[in-house]
Amino acid sequence: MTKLLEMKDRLIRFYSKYETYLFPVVKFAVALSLFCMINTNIGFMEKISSIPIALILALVCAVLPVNAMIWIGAILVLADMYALSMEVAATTLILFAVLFFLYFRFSPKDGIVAVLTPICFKLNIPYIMPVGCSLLRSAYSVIAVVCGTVLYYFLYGIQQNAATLMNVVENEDTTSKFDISVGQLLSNKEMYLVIAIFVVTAIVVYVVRRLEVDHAWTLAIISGALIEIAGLFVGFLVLGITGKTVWLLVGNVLTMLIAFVLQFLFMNLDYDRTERVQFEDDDYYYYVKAVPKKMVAVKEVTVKHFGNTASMGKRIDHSRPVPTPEEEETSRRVIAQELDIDEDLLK
Amino acid sequence: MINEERVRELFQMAVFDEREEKKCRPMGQYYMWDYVGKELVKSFFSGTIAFVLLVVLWGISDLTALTAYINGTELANLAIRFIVLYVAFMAVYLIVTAAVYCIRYDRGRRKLRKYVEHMKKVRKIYQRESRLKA
Repeated sequence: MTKLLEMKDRLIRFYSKYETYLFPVVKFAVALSLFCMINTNIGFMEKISSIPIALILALVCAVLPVNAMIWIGAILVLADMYALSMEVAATTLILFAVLFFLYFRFSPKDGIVAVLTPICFKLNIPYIMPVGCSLLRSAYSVIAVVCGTVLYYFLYGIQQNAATLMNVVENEDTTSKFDISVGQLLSNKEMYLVIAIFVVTAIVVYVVRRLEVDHAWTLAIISGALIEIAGLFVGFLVLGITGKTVWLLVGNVLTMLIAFVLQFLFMNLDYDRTERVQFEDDDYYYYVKAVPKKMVAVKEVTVKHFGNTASMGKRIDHSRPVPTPEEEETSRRVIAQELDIDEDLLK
Repeated sequence: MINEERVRELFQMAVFDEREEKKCRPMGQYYMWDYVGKELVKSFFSGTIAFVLLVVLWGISDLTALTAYINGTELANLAIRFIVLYVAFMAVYLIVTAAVYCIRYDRGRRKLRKYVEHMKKVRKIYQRESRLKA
C-alpha cells in the first residue's frame, strides 16, 4: 500500500510539474481516438476519413480548448453523413441542435462527457460513464452521458443501415431515407433501456457516495456495478437481446477496476483514524466526523558533498525556518498594535 | 521578506479570478430572481427552438402521417395536441432551468463571499505592513 501511495504522490508531482505539456497530450490522445473511431465506423467521406487528417485535427484539438474537439467531431460526423445522404445529414444536424439547445446551454463543460461516452461504448466499457460521472461530478452530469448514449445509438444505427440508405439513394425516395434515419433511433428499445439504467445507476451512485457511512465510495461503486449488471441483464432478457451478457459482465468488472483506481486517486481515506469531535459556539452545536486522507510522509533528503567537507551530511530542512529574535520582536509589535494591548504582555 | 500569509490569500484570490470570476460575476451584479429570470428568458428561446426541431424531426420521420393530418380534418386536433405538448415541455424545461440556476446562484454567492473575505484579509495585511514601514 505504501508503495502505491508513493506512486500516487509521484504521479501527482509529475503531473503538476508537467501539466502544461501533459494536458495537450491527453487532449491529443482523446481527439485522435475519437476521430479514428469516427473514420473507421462511419467514414463515408473518404477524403476526410484518413489517418493523416485525423492526426492533423487531433493536433489542432491539442492546442484549442476541450470544446473544440466536440465541434470538430460534430463537423466530421456531419460531413460523413452528407457523403452518405443529405437527408441523413439533415437529421444528424437537427439531432445535434436539439442536444445543444436542450442541455449544453446549461453545462458546456460536460461536452467532454458526451464525447467520451460513445468512445467507451466502442471499447465495451460504457458502464464506467454513469459511475465515474457520479463519483467525480454532480449527479446531473448523467444528462451528458444520456446525450452521448443517444449519439452513439444514432450513429451505430446509421452504420448498420448504411447499405439500406445507399440503396434508397438510388431509388430517389427521400421519405424513406428520413424514415430509416430517424426511425432506427426512435424505435431502438435497447437505447431506452440503457438510458434508463444509466440514469438510475448515476442517481444511486451519487446518493450512496454522499452517505455519511464509512467506505461510501466503495459501496457506491459496487452498488452502481450491480445495478447495471442486474438491470441490463433483465432488460436484455425481456427485450430478447442476445449475445451481450459476456461483455456486460466483463465491462462491469473493468468498470469496477477503473472506478477503484479513480477512488484511489481522488478519495483515498484512512477510516481507521476517523475522529469524531463535538463542540459548540453561540449559535450551533457541531458534530464533526473527520476522516484523514491516506498519505506518505515526505522523505528526508540527505545530500552528501564530496570534496567540500564543510557542508557534508547537511540535512535539507523542509520545515519552516525558526524566526530570528528580530522577526519575533517585529511580529510581537504588530500583533500588539493590532490588538491595541501592551507589547510586554506578549513576551 | 515575503509574507507567507499574504501570498496564501493572494493565491486564493488569483485562483478565483482565474477560474470562477467570469462565472460568478453575474451573481454579484443581480438579485437572485433577476438572475434566474434572465436565464429563464434564454431558456424560453432555446427550449422553443429545441421543441420546433423535435417536431421537425417527428415530421420528417413520418411524412405520410403528417400529410394525412394536414389533408384530413384532424388538423385542429393536431394543433391542440402540439400546443399541449409544447406547454408541458416548456413547463418542465423552465422548472429545471429555475432549479439549476437557483442552486448556481446560491453557490456563486457563497464563493463571492469567500473571495471578499480573502480580500479583506489581504487589505488588513497590507495595512499592517504599511504601518510597520511607517
